[in-house]
Amino acid sequence: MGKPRRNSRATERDLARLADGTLEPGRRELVERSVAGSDELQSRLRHQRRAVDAVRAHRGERAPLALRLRRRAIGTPPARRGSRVLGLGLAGALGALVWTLAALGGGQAALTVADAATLAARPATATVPEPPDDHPTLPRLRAAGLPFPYWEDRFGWKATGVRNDDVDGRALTTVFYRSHGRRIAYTIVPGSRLPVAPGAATITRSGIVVRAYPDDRRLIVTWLRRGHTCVLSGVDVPLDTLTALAVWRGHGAVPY
Amino acid sequence: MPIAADHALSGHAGVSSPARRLDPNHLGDHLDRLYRAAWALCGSREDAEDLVQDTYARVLQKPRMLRSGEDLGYLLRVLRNTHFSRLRAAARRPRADPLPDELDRIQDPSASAPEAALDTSELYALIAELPDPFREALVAVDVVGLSYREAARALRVREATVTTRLYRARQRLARSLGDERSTPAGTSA
Repeated sequence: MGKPRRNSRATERDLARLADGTLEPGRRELVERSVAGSDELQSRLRHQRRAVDAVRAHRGERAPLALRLRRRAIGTPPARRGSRVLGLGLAGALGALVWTLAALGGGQAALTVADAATLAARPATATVPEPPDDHPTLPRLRAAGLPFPYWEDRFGWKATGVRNDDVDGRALTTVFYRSHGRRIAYTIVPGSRLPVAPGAATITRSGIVVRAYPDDRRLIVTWLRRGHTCVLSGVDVPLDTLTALAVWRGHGAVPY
Repeated sequence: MPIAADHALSGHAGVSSPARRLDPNHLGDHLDRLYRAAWALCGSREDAEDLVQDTYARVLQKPRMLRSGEDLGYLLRVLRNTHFSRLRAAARRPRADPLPDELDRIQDPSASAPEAALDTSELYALIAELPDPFREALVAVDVVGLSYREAARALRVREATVTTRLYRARQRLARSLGDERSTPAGTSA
């Protein structure tokens, strides 16, 4: 391993690997010494690191829900083909081989709480009617037979809109609430309980078990109402607030 | 030029890890990284969604045999080829302006972290403007997170070539980022 030469491809490779931390230790010492003695190499390394940092900062970008749903649709086989056998010829280093394979099978990934929570980032598609005075639930708005709570008078969260989505054969209803410029989304997912992220915290309040976990800047809480999964989430909304909203029974009008 | 990806095992002489069938049930594990790669290749969030969908549809057309640990690299290769196919097809079609999304009636300023989203759009648009070989190296290593060796296999070039292309892609990207934010651009290769 020699000293890096300016403007050589070897120098470029050294700098690229030094910038992202993949340069082997022995080589790294040599290159770092060279960089320390050269303003030009320092500048080039700064550029490398700036680009690396910029790209890595966006590695948390997730595929949107619409794409997740489309992928599921693609990944679902149209019909079970049983044990039908296909022949697939492959030319490779080992020579021509014929593989006997079971037909493309398998199912689809299950809908999760995290998937349902991504609906919070989608727009509402309809407005929400105001309830009569002192009524703790929103009128004419139910999912799986369950009403959505009216939180404005008690907590200051005004229901601003609603959207409906069909996901994996389930009719998801999401109501959006707003307070002081912050927005939260409350989704009811009919059917069997959705899996929650491993490591989610468990909180029991007012006899109701709430699971909570962060997803990037969004805080997600989930619990069950009559066996159906409810998901409430918001950005920059404290856990206590979300939990208090989640377990509010509305004087018995919000069934659990 | 796009490379053939249908025969997943071809072109890897000397690699002796056992082959196995690509499991369709695990394709979703790579969705986020493929989406980011697609976005960086296309420069458009909407095109990226379509590209990923087309890629999965293509992969699922028939069983695929891969060596251990090659799933992501293989998917990236199919994604890249699908991207080029779409570009060629688009070049043959008359262009039309996209229609507005009528469902987007209400903005969601808190949920989507709009500043971050904007930055992502800007960043991936800059990456999409890089010359093809540079962009592909940067997408494979920095966006998708493949090792240099995996990237070399996925792109069917030597590891040293990937590294050099990656270096040059980063230099150009760093300059573009400097231009975007009106800061002085330094020297570069």
